[in-house]
Amino acid sequence: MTRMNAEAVVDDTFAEAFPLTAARVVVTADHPRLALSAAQAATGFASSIIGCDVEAGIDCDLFPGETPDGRPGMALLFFGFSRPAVEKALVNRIGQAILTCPTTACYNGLPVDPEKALKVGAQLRFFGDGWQSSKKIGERRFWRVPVMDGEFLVEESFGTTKGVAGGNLILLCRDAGEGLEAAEACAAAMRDVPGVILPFPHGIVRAGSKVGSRYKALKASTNDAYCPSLRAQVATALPDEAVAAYEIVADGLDLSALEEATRRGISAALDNPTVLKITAGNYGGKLGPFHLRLRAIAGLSPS
Amino acid sequence: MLTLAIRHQDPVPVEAECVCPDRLMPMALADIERLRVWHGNRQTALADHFAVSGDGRDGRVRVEGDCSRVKMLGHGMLSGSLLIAGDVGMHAGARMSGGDLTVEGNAGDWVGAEMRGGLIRVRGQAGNLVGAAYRGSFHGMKGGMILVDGNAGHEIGASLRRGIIAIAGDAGDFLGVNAAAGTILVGGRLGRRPGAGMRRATIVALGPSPVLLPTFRNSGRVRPTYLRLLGRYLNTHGFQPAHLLQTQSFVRSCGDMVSMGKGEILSLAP
Repeated sequence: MTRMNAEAVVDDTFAEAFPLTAARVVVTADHPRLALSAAQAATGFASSIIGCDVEAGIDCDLFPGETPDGRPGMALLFFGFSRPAVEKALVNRIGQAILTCPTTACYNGLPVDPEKALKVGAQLRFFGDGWQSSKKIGERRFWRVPVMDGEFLVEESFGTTKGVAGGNLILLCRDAGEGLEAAEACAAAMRDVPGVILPFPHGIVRAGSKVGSRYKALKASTNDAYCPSLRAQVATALPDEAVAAYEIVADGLDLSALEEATRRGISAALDNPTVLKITAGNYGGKLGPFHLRLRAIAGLSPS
Repeated sequence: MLTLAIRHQDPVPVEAECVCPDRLMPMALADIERLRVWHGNRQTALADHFAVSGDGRDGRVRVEGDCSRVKMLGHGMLSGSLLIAGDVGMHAGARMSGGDLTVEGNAGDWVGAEMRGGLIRVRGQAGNLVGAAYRGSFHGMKGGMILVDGNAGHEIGASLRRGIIAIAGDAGDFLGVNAAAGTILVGGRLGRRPGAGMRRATIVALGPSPVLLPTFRNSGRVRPTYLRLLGRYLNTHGFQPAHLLQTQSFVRSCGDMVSMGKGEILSLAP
């Protein structure tokens, strides 16, 4: 495959990211397929903080040697506006999607500051209706909740960190089908970075949004500048040859992880000649303090 | 590291509760030598019983020689590391709340009695009442972990409230009597009446199935996730029988029904 000319393709702009409270959850089960089902359910309907309680996704698979109980598992990341918001989301999502899944257990995946800890197992334990019991191993407290296949083990407290959300790349493509392949490759490269999730389905957004709407009730509406069918009616951001635009949105546990994901995403997108332009969404620097400058991250000088 | 080498084998016991790394750390050698200890019913200086050398500012203390007649070493210690390179007498590490205490030989009764935190490792045998409550106290051990590589005596974990006691060998009678919570794990044989009067604790028997009191009810075969977690944790401390927790099923017996009845004895499934 021909590698594209990065100088010409990578736009001189930046992705505007903002801080969110992040939590990392480790789910284990007797079989990887059960851990995956629980992980997918727990991180479902969590694409954008605009319309969901949190943004969430699967960080990585964990081998038995990497989990607290020696079973296969998955690490999940959750991003929300505040600690109470993340706590509420975790209690609801773990309670409905992980507790209910056969053989699973659920552990905290971040250091815990006792004053800022999210009380997750401490709330879920009440499902045990008085038959729950607590166990302390080292400095960590766990709750054993009796369920119909044995017990659900959940850690009492979960740690949080200041994560970075809203990293993004937008690929402007000559062909819709090939553009989707390029976006998939880009998403796969970004997803590989530890501590980074792509919260949207399949990691790709085809309905990028702009802030506001002509309808007062809506906080966001279609990003018309990137809609090919509106090219003749709005101030389009699409080159003449572009027929589709795909956005890859990423959240990271820290800025460096997000920068690395952006670098790998750009590199992967450059491998596909259907990509005419790699750009990013921002709000003029007014929304978030983190500016991921595409050309600098890709090792290019400003144009 | 500060080193204390015992000078004599007098059968009259010495009570040296001042030998704790956190207490000795800020002190000069001369002050350490002048510390008062009981020798029978007489107050004496620490230097009368131990040759003191080295520097304890790093929080590490080594006690050398047969200290089987020295009581209360590491009593109430808060932090640091205390290594007893031989046998130790009663009450070692009792009421400690932090740091680690290692006994390379055997330990007397009351090891870690009413302990609150930290780690005690006994490489040899331990006496009776490991992690237990003193007579008249409501609760025994409330936190931390005690690992015994050999056998232990009677009433291990009596009135246990929290924490982990793991015995690699056999344990005597009345294991976990009146335990309110916490976990006791025994790699070998259990004595008579394990868990008598227990309310919520967990006793794990990795050796032959114990004979239980009639006030325990069989609750079937289980594979608790908690035991996998505990097994991995104990493995990191080099506790040999822990690997069984990862792979085996257990028979759960609930009791003691004369008490609250929310405790459990988990014995290896046949």
